[in-house]
Amino acid sequence: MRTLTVDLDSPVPVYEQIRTQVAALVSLGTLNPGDRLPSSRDLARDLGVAVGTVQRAYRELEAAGAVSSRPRTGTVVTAPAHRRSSVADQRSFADLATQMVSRGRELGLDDSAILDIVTGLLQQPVDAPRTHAQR
Amino acid sequence: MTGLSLVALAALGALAAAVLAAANVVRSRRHPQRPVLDAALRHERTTSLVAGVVALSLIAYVVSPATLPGLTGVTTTPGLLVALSPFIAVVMVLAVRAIGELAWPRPQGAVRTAPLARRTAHGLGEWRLPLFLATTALTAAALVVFGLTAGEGGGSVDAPLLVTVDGWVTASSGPYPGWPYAGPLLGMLGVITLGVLGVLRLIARRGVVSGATAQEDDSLRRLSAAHVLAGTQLLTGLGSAAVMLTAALALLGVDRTGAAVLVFAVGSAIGITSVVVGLSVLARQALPTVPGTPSVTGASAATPAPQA
Repeated sequence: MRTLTVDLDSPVPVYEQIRTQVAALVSLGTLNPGDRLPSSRDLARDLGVAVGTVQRAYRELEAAGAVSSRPRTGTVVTAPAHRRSSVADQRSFADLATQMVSRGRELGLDDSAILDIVTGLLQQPVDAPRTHAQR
Repeated sequence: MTGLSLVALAALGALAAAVLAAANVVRSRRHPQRPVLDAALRHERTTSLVAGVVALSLIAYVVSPATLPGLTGVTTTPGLLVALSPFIAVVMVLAVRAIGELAWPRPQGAVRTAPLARRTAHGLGEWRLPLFLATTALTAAALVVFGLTAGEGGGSVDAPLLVTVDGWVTASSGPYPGWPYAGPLLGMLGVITLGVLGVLRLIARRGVVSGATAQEDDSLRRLSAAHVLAGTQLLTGLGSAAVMLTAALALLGVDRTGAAVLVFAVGSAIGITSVVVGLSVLARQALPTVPGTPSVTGASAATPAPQA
């Protein structure tokens, strides 16, 4: 059963934690187009947070094209039309990322260190050569 | 309400509480590693216990020899309060359950988990909800028929008109649940149906049990829903069966044998099914089996007990 976990003591705002987790589940294929998310009121009640917090997360997800909200159907995961890659390619990439994360953990890196590396790579220009210190 | 009746009510309530508490002790198990689940199960069972005591106490009070004769003449329609009593008990049970759901502990702690799935009253009701709705629909249909076929006054049913050389002969038999009874009973069925759906909605929307996995939380909700529907089915079914059996006896008294047999069969089926279904919840496993721990029903961990 898919679950969402938030840490109220984290410096990351709760709505951002919700948004990133849902976006990640959509990217990994754990949430598929057509899957219905709980209503903002129900999710807020489950997490014990304000309804506005969940609504903001859903709004940002809808702005990114990950979900769509309708008055009678609620919030539904969508297949964004602007994505250039297929769902199969995304899942293939997710498998590679899973291997990368596993390897990082084997090397003793914690999750924040792995995230820092990936963030750094994403911030580099596309054609920039990767350099590392020669031993 | 006389003093003797109050004493009888208190004694019956205490007896009912003792019986239900004993049943709970037999069923309950301490979760070896998760006190938070223990607390949740305790809340659920306490609510069920209180609801059961309330219902049993009311029923016992109504049928006790000390009070039944007095209750029969309370309303202008003789015996209406007695006929309504099982359904009134259901309403009281639903009220207790609703209070229990509203008093469910809120999420605590800094780290909180929630399932990313929609919960609906119909989803939690499983197979019990359609059965309950079918029971009420069948009872409602029967009440409408009784109302339309009752004789003058609505408290009896007329025999087929018999024409003889001396004129025509007829007879009537009662009590029969014509409109003076069927109307209020239909109203109670409507209230009960809305009440059940409302309580199931409360169960679906209550907060997640802190520290429980999504599967455990879902199991707890389904347990609550099963308790609500089992109790409602039991009382509504018995009340419906009693009305139908009363009608069957009246029909038999005016030689409408075919109709009597039909009504008797339907009423018996509803009554027996409701008792079996209502009591089957006692065998329901509260939580998913934890490997290495004994299950509630005594089945091994490798063979999960079927969900009642």
